This record gives sequence, structure tokens and C-alpha cells, in this order.
Amino acid sequence: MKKIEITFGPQGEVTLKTEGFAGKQCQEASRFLEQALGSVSEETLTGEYFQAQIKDRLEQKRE
Amino acid sequence: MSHITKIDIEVTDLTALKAACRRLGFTFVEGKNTYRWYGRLVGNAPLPEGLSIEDLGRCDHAIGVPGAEYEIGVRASMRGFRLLWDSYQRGGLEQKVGKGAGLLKQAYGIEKAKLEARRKGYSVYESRKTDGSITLRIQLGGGR
Repeated sequence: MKKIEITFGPQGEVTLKTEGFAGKQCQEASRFLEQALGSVSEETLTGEYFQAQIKDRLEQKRE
Repeated sequence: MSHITKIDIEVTDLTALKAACRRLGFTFVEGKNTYRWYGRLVGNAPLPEGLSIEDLGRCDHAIGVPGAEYEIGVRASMRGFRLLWDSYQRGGLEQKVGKGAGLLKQAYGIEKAKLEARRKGYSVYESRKTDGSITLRIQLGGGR
């Protein structure tokens, strides 16, 4: 299941996380929310992102 | 988790701001071009960036907060809207909207995210934590 989770703190701080996406899909899927809410001050790519990138590369090599 | 971003909220949508006011029990007064504040600048607070002393107290819309004497001014800017307000204790705003108007920004962010997610047809679930933070879970459906 592809999910976006956004946590809004009581001091106006916002953290957005994506789950279940392959590679760059996560950034594309959440961009509409990031742009609508304001400006991104920090971005961290997580293990799932890199795993998907490696899988894509391996599949490309096989083809 | 695929990626994590931190976002600085910018108010750009009056529909979401009005919904945020309803959520908090505040009154959005469309077209009100002054907001109540102390009335003169005192030395301990810097002038908001890009504004002159004459700009203080002037706005395009105002927000009334129950229990607070002062109001929040909503002023159109290049990138959307700025929230102007006087944090002087006597005005009663900081106790209601939090430091830096954090509670109003929180409510605006929630309403804006809900509007945008629903516009795309996504399901949105809201939950509140004991520390006062509120989480929206947006389901886009489908697996990989």
C-alpha cells in the first residue's frame, strides 16, 4: 500500500514521510503536498528508496 | 519509508485558512483591513521583514480569537499571505495560537493537505497524539 504520512506539530513544524513507493516514485507522489504546504527545508532518502534503486539497476542489467 | 522531508509552512490558500479558523473556533473576517494590536512599536520586538511601521495594524483580512483582545492580520504578500500579530501578553494571542502562531499554522497545514489530497481522490485519516501533534495518513492505494 502506498502511503504518505504527514505530522503537524503544535509549533507549526511539518514532517512528511512516504511508504511503499519504488525509488523516485515517492518524491513524485508527495511533490503536490510539499508544494502546496510551503517549502522543503530538509530531505532524507531512506533505505527503501535505495533498495528500489538497486533493484531497478539489476533489472536493467538483466534486460 | 522511502523519503522524509521537513516542510516550512507558507500560507497561500484562503479556503484552507478559513477552514483552519473554523477548526480552532476563530473568526475569519474577510476584507477587514485593520487588526487590533498594541498600537505602537516598542523596542523589544523587531519589525517584521519587509514591513514599515506604517504597515503594522493594516491587513487584507483579520482573524478574531475568542478570549484574546488582539487580532491576527492576514496580509497579502508576493508568495501568498503573511500572518501579522502582536505577541504582547496583554493581547492574549500567544496563549491561544502558540509561539509563532504555531497552532494556527498547524491547523492551516492540516486543512490544506486534506484539501489537496481529496482533490486527487485520496483517502485521508487523521489522528491526534498526546504531545499535541496531529498526523494525516493519506492512502494512494495499490502496491508496488
